[in-house]
Amino acid sequence: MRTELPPSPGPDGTPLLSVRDLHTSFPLRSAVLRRTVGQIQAVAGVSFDIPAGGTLGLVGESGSGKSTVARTIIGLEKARSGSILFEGEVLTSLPKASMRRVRRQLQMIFQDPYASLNPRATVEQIISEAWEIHPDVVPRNRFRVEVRELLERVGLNPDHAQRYPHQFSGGQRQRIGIARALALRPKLVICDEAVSALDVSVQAQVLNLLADLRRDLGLAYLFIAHDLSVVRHISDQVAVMYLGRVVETATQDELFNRPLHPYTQALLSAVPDPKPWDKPVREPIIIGGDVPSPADPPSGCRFRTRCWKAEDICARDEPPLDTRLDLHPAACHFAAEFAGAGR
Amino acid sequence: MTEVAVDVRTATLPIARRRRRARAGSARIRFGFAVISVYVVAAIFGPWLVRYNPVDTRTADRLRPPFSRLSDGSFAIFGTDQVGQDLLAQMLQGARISIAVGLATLVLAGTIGVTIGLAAGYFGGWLDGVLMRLADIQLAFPSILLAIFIAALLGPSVVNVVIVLAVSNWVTFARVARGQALSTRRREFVDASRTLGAGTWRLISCCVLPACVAPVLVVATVEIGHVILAEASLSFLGLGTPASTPSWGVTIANGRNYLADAWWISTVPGIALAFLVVSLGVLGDALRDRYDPRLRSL
Amino acid sequence: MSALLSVRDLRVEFATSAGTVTAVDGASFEVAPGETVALLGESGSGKSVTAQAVMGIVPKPAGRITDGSIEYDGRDLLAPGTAKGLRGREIAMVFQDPLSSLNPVFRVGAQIGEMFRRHRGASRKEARAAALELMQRVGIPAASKRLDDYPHQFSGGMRQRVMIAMALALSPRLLIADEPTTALDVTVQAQIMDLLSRLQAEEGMSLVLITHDLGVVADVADRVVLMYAGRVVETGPIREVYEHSGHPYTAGLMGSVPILGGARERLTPIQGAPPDLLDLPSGCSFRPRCRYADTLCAEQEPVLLALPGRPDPHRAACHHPEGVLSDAH
Repeated sequence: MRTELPPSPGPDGTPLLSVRDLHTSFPLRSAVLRRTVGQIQAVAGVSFDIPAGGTLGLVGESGSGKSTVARTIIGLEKARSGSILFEGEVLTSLPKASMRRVRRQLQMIFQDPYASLNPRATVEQIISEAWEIHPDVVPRNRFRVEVRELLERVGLNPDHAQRYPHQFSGGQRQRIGIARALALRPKLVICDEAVSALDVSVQAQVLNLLADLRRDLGLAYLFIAHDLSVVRHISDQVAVMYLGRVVETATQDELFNRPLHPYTQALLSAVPDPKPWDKPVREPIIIGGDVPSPADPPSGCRFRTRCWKAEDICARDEPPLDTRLDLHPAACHFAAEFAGAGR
Repeated sequence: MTEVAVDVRTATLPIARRRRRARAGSARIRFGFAVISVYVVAAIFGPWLVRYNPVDTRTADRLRPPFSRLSDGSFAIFGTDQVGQDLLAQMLQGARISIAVGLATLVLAGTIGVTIGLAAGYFGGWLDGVLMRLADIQLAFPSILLAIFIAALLGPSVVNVVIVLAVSNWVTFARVARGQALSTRRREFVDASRTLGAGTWRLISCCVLPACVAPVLVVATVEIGHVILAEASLSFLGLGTPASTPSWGVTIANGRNYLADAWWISTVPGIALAFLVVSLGVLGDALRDRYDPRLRSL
Repeated sequence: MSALLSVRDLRVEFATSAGTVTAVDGASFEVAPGETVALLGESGSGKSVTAQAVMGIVPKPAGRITDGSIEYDGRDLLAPGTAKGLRGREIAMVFQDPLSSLNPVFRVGAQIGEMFRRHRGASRKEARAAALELMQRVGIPAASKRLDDYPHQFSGGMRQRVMIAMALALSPRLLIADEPTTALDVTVQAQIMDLLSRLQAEEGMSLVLITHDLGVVADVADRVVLMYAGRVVETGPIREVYEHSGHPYTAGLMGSVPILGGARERLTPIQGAPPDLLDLPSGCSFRPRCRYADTLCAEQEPVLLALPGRPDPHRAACHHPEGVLSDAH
């Protein structure tokens, strides 16, 4: 399902990254004989585009599949079906050498600043590892200089390049992770919950840094998080995921002002607001129950078991992620109703 | 996520008690190192200073007790054996053999073990299953039987002893390496290197292998004592080094018949052997406690 | 109205291999009966250790309460034996990670029932009935079937409800919730906060919510106590503190949080990093990160004082609150 996005600044209008009907699943193994008894459909048909220099925020709770989407795009997991196109080229069908070259332009920042850096390597080694693997990017005699430049760019003291990760704080380690991601001069960076593990004050510093880097280097981001306020702050477009599917996608403004899918509405309602007194009293939408198991999702609309609007049609027909009338795509049979009610 | 340098929740012992423990630990380490250095220095330089000729028999000086003066005027600190050879000279030569065999075995067993363990832990799946069953079979197999087999087939020699001992002892190294590989391969920084484009070889050598170094060294220090003792036992039984080499086991075996009259022939090398193995054990335990207490069960 | 819980000049130290860490350095605050107080701070602020001190569960022997007093209903909690008698009965606690707080080898019904069997001498049948009633009260669906389930068979949100049920069992007058929703999804978080708020109103108990999330407590708390580097830096009615912050740290925090409904301006984070608890700055511990700091701040540690132009219950420990108050958001 194509989503409506503003035309990309690219020369020929092709989006930088294009994901089409992606499916990724994990086998469920029985305890004794380790036979495959089922599939966990972590990602069940996800499609989106990211233009060059644009930022797509991917929001969802646990079990939504958003991290799996990231890991599949970057190559850490294998897609079961669907395609990923980078600058128009299908990633999976490329020969290994070209794939390596293309993957260089696609990098990732990880969530845990304490686990994502090799504890036995110096900062310089961590960052220059990228150039050891791809020797044509930076020649060896320039490693030290380039590392210093990168450290400065992410707001760290370049004299600390010989230190080890444990000598830095969480926020500083995350900056090292960002510097590493930038080493190969990527065009798109996936931020997989890159600020979720940081304290509030440090989170703000890193968010500002990411915004600055985007401006200075023309980066595109796929920003994955569970915190809607953070996602909205940094993204142009936002896609909401639930149980492996995208349920709604819109510009951040549209999504906030006119959420069409009941899950999005519940999500927005649940976001903790430090200044609730400034706004008109909103009726809290508290959905009950738990997220169903991804190994056995509900028939029809996956959200129907927790949805207050659910009716028979929801169990029968799965609502497609379509644009209806002039509304942004939302996978709900009653999207138009919600739009009319002007929530 | 704590920003502080020290996580207060894991500090459980008061400083005073932990300092005492640490001092006791380092005392063990220093003691162990001191004893072992004496042996190593003796092994390296001893045989030059105190000459030993295996075919030289001096029946006039047979079975002389320790601290006796020999017919040619030299002083035998540990006495002489049944063919008149100075026991100290034999023991120094034997020290060389024991330590050399110990080190060689460790290097060989370590290389085999770590390679197998890394492969099993990193790749998992059927390879892991096969390799670990192999390890189980190895553990269940009596090493004496293997020693007899090799000795019968190839004849006793120092090289064969090393092979037998290495084959019997690689499993501990494999287990440690496998454990490290299992715990490291899923860590985020390994994923991060993969994302940069690192291939399997690079991932193993840069991410997994460095994590193995410390535990493997600790295991090695603990194992070397066992290996030296095992070599002495095999030699005692005649399955290890040839009877002509003065390894400690051979010397002890030679003194078996003279235990009543010339007890020093078996006893002195036996004490020296015991002391070395105990010191190695103490050192190994102290290093393990200091650097990786989780290995206690191995 | 006399306070239910009164903490005065509390000081908790930990002996570590790197030196003595002062986790809590002279913290004072009160909780009135029936009130909901948010104890707010980032990592290293000392908020969790303060709660541990109240409950008498500071990890020994490394941790020691070296100074100060904690009084519950006029009784000295630091006197040996007192805390033990009240713990679980009048003062209850809910922790962050229910998976590690619940015993994995016992059924949930048995764990909740144990509260009744141990403290009220109930029989097994009575305890089971009481546990069932509690599970229904905290909103666990099909509670009668789930009494015999083990903790790992519950989702995160449900486990947290079980913990809350255990805490509520003996109708405590004070419930301390240490980051109860941090490990949960945001929709589940909303459920749990709603539950806590409802239960608090039903029982009339005091609720102390410990968290680092400014927004989570905004709807629920009456007052807020903000901690930084082991000290209380600001306290007062929550709306008053959020909208008219008197301490540069509070103001900085408010500027760091992206607000869903607000304009998408650039965030104004606090520069620098939280201090090393082994080596706190002299005077005010926030000084290295504060743009209003001067020599007085390096010499003298500020105490909680009423602010010029603001109602008294609102206090901040700052030598120059005028700067922050005038730079209002």
